[in-house]
Amino acid sequence: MKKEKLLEVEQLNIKFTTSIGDVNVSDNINFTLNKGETFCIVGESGCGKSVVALSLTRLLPENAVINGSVKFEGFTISDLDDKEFAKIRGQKIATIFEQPMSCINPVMRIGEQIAETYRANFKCSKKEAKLQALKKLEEVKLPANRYNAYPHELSGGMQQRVMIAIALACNPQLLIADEPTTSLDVTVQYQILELLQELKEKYHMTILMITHDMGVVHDMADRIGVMYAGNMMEIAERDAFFKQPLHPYAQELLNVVKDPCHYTIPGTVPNLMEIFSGCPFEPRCQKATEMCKTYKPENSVRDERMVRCLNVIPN
Amino acid sequence: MKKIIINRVLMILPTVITIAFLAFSIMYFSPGNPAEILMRYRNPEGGTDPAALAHYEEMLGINDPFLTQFENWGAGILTGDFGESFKTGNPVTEEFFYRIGYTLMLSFTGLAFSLVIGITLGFLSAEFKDSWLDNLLRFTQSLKMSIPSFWLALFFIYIFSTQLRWFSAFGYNSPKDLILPGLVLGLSNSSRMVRLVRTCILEEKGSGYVYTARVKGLSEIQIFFKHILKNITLPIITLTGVSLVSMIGGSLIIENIFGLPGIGTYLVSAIVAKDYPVSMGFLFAYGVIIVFINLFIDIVYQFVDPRVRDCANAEI
Repeated sequence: MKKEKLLEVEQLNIKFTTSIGDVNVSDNINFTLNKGETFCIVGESGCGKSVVALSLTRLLPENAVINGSVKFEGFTISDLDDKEFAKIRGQKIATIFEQPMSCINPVMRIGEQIAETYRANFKCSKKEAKLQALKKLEEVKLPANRYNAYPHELSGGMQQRVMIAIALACNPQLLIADEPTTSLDVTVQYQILELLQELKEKYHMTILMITHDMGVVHDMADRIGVMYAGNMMEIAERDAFFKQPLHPYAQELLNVVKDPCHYTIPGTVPNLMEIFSGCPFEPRCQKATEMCKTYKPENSVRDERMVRCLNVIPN
Repeated sequence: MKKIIINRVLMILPTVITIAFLAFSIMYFSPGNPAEILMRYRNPEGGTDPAALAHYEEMLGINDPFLTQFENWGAGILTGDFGESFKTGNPVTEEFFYRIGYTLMLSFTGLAFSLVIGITLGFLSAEFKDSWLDNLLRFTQSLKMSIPSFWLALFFIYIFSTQLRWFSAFGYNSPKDLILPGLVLGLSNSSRMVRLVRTCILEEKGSGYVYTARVKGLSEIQIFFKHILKNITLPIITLTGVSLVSMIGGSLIIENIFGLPGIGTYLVSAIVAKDYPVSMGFLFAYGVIIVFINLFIDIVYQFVDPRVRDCANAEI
């Protein structure tokens, strides 16, 4: 069966211009999201995962220079002006962030914040918006009497549920979840992930999830993208990935999960202001050769699998 | 909510008593004999007759112990009797209520100007951050901060009264006469407001809920009015209170230049003239006004921010 593509990202380059030089956070990234799947981008902190996600909804600060094409439902959205884009952003693409407390307005009742989303995108009366908001509250399993609560009266998990309700107010096709469970404790994490999974199936949503938690990836992902220093190192189906990760960095990430108490990947994530002449992972890579220092690896693709490494060919 | 407000009002009592005590003791311990001063006012050619002096001392109760005098004065306050001015012989309360109107009118005009100027310019400055407009505004704010208000007042009188003849330069005949002094007062107080509004808006713009609002599909204008404005109200209210206090207390230069009979001018002349009852009464009244402004702001907080409300509730 041919999979229908929802989002296609091609040759995405992002750099921040700062007073002390340029920071390259995304280096020729390509990936696609198929309708109804969950695609997880993993990687250590500072690899540019969140920046890629934010760039899709144009939430980056003004000093970001973005090049490349982004197609949504076969339609190039990277060319749209901000006004046209705001519509898509409100109705079709929703985002939830890592810190629910700071991402909902502290002086506004949560119900109103959900209703507001609905009203911003559809013409309807206040009453109708309120009904919709109450429905969403129920869907994220918050009691209706919390409609009038303020964010500080809720726990972290409940706040994240509010965030999800806001995101889902317009039944979006694509949900971008930027580390949605990182700030929550483990049991709540599980509940939130379960809720996301349930809502995804109910609304046939596509989810792009950013995380550094391999456990989350294993539970949620249909496909996985591994990012390192602004490069997409590997893209693979979940089962194939966990069976045999191809890129040395991906292998290292899994090694850490297998032995979280003792094993760490030697070295740290490089400063993204550096310009890499070779493979950015080369200094930390145990399989690096002399070639890796001078030649930049290209994407090699076979079937559904992509790897960016000189020493590995997908088969 | 009611509980908090009652609690705050009750907390005022000790403060007011302290103010009364301080106002009284400052004048009590200041050098000079009130009876002698009063005698000179009442009978300028009387010389220094010890019998007359004793009569005045008796009248003022100067030989009573400190606390007895304080009690007498305090009891007077409770019945609204602050004594009579040495200089004019009029009751202090009469003098006060005649003048406080001018001071309040001037202060509130100044406050209105400073709020309008501060919020508008602050908004523009933040909205066009780092543009030439922002730089120009920031430069003028620092310039304004270093210009003394009396200079500004004289400058405005020269332009608007002497040259353009739009406003009268001196005295109070109609509310129109408040515009010029209010503008000067507002301008010299607005620099802080502009800066505060600019910083607050920029800070809020970087916060998560603004991102969320963008994701929701709200326009920047909707985001400003529905989300940012309510979040920056708190610091603005705080600064408004501080400004109001400093305007009520510090408007005497402006009052003097524009010939407005406010309490600032009168208090200073009373202190210079050693008019004890007026000085004590006005000092006390100043303090009480400031306490009430703070009380008012405290209460407004509760309405604006649900977090403050809950914290205060938890305290009680």
